[in-house]
Amino acid sequence: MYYYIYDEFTQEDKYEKELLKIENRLSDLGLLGNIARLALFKQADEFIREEVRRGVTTVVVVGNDKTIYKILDVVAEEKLLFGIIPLGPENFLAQSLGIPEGVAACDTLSARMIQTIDTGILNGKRFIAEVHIPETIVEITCADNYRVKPQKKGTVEVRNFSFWKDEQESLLLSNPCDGFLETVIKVDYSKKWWFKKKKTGITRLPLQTCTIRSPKPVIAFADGKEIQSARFDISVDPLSLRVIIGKERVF
Amino acid sequence: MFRSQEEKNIHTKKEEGKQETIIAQGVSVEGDFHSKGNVFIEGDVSGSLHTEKDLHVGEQASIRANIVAQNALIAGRVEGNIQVKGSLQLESSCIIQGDMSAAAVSISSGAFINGKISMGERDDAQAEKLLSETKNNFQEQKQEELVEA
Repeated sequence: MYYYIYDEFTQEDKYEKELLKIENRLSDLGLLGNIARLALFKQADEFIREEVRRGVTTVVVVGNDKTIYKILDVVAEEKLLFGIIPLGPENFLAQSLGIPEGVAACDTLSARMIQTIDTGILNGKRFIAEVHIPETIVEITCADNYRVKPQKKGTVEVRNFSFWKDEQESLLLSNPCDGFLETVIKVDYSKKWWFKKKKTGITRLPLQTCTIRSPKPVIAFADGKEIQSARFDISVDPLSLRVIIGKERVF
Repeated sequence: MFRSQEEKNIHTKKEEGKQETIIAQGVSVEGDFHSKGNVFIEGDVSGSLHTEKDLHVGEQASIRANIVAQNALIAGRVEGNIQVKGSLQLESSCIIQGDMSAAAVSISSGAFINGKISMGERDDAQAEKLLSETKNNFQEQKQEELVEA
């Protein structure tokens, strides 16, 4: 039984035609179900828990990465099957899972290719893909056993799987089903000199838990959502999310 | 092992089911480091270093720790004792201050060693087998890198 959660922004006029096409296609495929619309004072958690009591087994989000971030915790806790129909801007997560935008996503939903993947937990809140901390100097304590410190400013990423698949990053593809999060630290260690080529060291640590500390609060992006703190506690929850995926996924 | 300058710190496609760790230049590690997979080090490590698989210490690496590994190839600086169950390969650029124990040892001309080397009881067949296995593994890696380049 399907349950559709529409994000607030999908109720704008510019998405009306696309939504109509999506609903028609879902009807043709026999995938219609109840619909809930998120609003400023309406939390998705309440809707979903209520519907679980009525027998819902699949929750489908109609929206973007921010919509997914809002409902991820409750979907994983209730062990529901999770689907996405990407609409609007910033759909990197859906892209990484191989789900096309708009009406085409309905056919992916119908194909029902299911994968159980790990999720990460950052300061008590779940994320699917990665936590990204831009250029800064932080200290990473790994599994309470050892500390890793970049000697210069660098970017830190804690990945369940990678959003991107360009030439260099493809060499660092992470596996979202291995029970580990890959901590990737990129530091420019070249000496500053005119015309000298930049040299970047890429450190890679497979971890299950880590703590990232900074003397001052820094901004981290968890699946695109901005979080500011001086301390980030990150852990993996192995095989905690069942998700419908497409053929063009990055893992 | 002998990767091009650009790829020196880039990890090649991970084999399924194996967790590889890379400590690149520009990063330092302090504490008890334990890994279940292969470890490649080009940065600084202090404390202790334990891996259940193979260890590769690059030319730029500096390690102030006791090391335990299955097999090891060392091209950088190590201050501490090294305990290897299989084969230990010391490259010409390595500087070792500490004792070593291994089933098979290979030392390149130019390596600087200040410590004791223990090899246990002599077993020619075992030592031969370990050395040739290690050489084959590194040669295969080198060929893969050349093909990818």
